[in-house]
Amino acid sequence: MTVRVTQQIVETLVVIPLVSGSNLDLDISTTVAFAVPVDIVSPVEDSVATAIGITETLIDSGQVDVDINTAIAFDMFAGEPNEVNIKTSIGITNKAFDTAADSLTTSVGFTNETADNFVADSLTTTIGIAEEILADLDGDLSANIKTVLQLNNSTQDIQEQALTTSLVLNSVMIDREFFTDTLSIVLTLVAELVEPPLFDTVSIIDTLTVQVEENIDLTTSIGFRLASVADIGSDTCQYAPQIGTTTGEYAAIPAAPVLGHAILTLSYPVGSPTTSVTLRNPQFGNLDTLTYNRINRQSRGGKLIVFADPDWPKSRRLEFTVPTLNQTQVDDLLAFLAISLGLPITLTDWQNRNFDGVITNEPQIIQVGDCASTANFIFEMLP
Amino acid sequence: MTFHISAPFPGLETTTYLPNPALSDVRKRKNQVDVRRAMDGTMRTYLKTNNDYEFNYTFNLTRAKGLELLEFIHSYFRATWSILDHNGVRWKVNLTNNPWQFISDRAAQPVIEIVGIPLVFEGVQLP
Repeated sequence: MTVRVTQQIVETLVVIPLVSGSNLDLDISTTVAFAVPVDIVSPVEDSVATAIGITETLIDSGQVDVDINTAIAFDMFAGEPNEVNIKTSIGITNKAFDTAADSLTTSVGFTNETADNFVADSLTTTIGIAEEILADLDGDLSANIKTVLQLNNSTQDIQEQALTTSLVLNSVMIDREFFTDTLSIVLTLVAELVEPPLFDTVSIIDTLTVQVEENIDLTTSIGFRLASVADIGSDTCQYAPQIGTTTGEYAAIPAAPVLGHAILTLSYPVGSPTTSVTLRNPQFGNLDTLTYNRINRQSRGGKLIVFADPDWPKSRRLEFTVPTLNQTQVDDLLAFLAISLGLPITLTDWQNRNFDGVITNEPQIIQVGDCASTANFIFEMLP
Repeated sequence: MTFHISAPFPGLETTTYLPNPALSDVRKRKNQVDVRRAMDGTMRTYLKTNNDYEFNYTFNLTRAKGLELLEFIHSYFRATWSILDHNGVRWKVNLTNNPWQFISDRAAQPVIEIVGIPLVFEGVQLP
């Protein structure tokens, strides 16, 4: 079973109103990371997105330098296939009225401080690492983006600039139980305005999104025990159900009954019998019938729906034919039935098991020959 | 290959191993074909498809194994079952016949008697 959980943390790092007439010269460094180390089972996607909003009113001209450093700390273990994709992107939204007056230059640099078996690539593309790690490896991946916003506006323009940067880590960890990772973005915002603005606001909002895909260990809910190979040989003959963990919703299968040898005997009343009759064991062809109330329905689309409430009636019925009874046995049986028909009796079967129940039919005694009569019984067990 | 029945599906609790069913077992799809014929003799067929299969098995069991199956049915008759048939194919099924009759129809060695029970399943194949 797979459960996907998304956790998102949004925090506003800084909102700085600028005083009219002063230069914007900020150096903001912050790290967005999990507050505590998070144990993740096979993380699907972690991402850190940072939005830098610069709202300028009546700005004249200037230059805003933004250094963005992204870093990932990771632990990987030998012998495990790992796939890590790192994608860093930067987007710039310029809503200036006088768009022609703006220019944008971006320089991208990337440093790879990991071991040799990582591949470095330009940040303008996705860095994909798909390999089997040969040795335990701890390290860092970092990326630097340097963005220069060159503002060149007339004094009457209203500017609204927005920079967004995001770091996306796609990790596919196979056969891993725990994977701890930390994503961080370090921002350094340096803005130098040639002429002081009348009013500026710089805000930095970080959004940390973590998607976790957890694989729940099904063995905790399945109590199914596989038989060993040695068991299987005799399991098809012996009473040997393989019983695992049960939830209690269904009745547990009892232990194997003890089977012996006996002669079919009827006793009345139940508990402390005062009258009993011993007959012969029945001939083959006896029935042991379970009749449980249950609903079988088919939807219009043909889907089978089966339902039974556990409290609905259940009955178990034994039907057997006892052959070749002599006249004495027939007389004893008729005398027994005269006082017990329709009342609870105890039946001891040919395997020395006792059942409490009721004979639900008036047994037909058919004389098939001299001193040879046959009786048919239907015995319904008490619940 | 033995015949496995397990229940309840999917949180399996109990498994019973049975001998392979007797020959003449039946497997069929649950599709329905309705054939209509027009006055001019044109035949039209209407097909209602169904992905379910129906199985008819008869198991000949020892008395002990028959009692085990009886208790299994008693516990899980209202649950969905998983069966692994004699061909090694796993199915998610419901037991659809009712009542269930255990017939002690003949003697056998080394066990005392053989119990026969017909079971009817309906369900779909599991991947």
